[in-house]
Amino acid sequence: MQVDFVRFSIPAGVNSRLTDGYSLIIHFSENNSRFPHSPHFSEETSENSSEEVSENCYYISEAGRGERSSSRSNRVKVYKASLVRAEDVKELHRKLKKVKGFTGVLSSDVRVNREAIMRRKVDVILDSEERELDYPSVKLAAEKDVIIEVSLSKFLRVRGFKRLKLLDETRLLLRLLMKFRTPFVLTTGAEMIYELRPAKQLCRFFQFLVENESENESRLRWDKVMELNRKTGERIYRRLLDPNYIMDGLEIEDVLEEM
Amino acid sequence: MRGLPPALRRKRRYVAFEIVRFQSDEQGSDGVDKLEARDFLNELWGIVLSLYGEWYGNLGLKLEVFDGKKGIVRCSRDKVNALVVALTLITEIKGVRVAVITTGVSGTIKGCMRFLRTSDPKTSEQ
Repeated sequence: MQVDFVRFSIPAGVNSRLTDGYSLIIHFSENNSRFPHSPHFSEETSENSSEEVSENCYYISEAGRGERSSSRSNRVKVYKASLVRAEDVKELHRKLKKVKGFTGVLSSDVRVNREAIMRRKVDVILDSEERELDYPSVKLAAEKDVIIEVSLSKFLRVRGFKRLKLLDETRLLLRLLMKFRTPFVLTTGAEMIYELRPAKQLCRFFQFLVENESENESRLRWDKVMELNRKTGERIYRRLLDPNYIMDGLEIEDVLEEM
Repeated sequence: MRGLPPALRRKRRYVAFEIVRFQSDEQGSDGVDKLEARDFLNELWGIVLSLYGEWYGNLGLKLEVFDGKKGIVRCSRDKVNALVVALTLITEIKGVRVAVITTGVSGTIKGCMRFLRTSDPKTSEQ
């Protein structure tokens, strides 16, 4: 059931069901395809959907959950985004020429990630078990306003010592992100349905990570972490789905009709 | 012997959870339809011990209610997040792929039962 895409969602809603808590799933794919056919989700056609759906955005509903599958609250908004996988800088440059729209870069090489942060086209550095980010990259991301994804699913894919190492690295990364006020989002980073978790559960997971630091003096504050996460999430949401949004601090208030 | 006064009693919390499997995967690889409480507890204890170790792994765990899909786990009041982390990290039970989602936290079993009964996510604590 492993499928070739990365999904991430902004924890904005406050609900308990598996997908209900997510106001948005951003579907990253290399060939800009629609959500893959899955027995778990069914795509809504425009006849079923009463709301207007843009070119890059559409709705899916959770299938196989019996009576709830057709309910309105079961619908998930999906936004199509471009995924660039690169193992060296040359490959990154080559692939970036072809992509458009909201773009995420997935790489295990720290040099590729640093180069990606400097590119104008790149919006988010996606997370995986092998991703490496260093101190200058995080600082640079804050200057260039590139979002760093911090995902849960990498912890679900590994066990034992590897998970311990990942937990430690993530804790350190969060400290760096907070130090430079780098925009970041806490996401599920799910590649399959079983890796999705409700938003609140996701928050509790990272809260535990943040609040159990050993150094008392320099302990991170969870409310500060969530504040930055929420701000970034809202910005992504508005940028992708609000037609009046132009850039931060600039938006269309009202359009006056000509007399 | 009289019971301990309230101030000295152990403070507990009850976490309601739901095990999600989808219709196409409803039957596990071994043909098992319903999950057993023992298998769930084994998996949970495995994660707790591997994450926190034997000393810090004392979360005061007890499975209060379990019907194969939904249940309630008891833990110490200050270990709620630790338990939620352990529940989050469960990916399979006895070879069956699952996702465990927490639906609510309460101070009493009675209060926690409403998270099991309700199917409306807006009424849950989450």
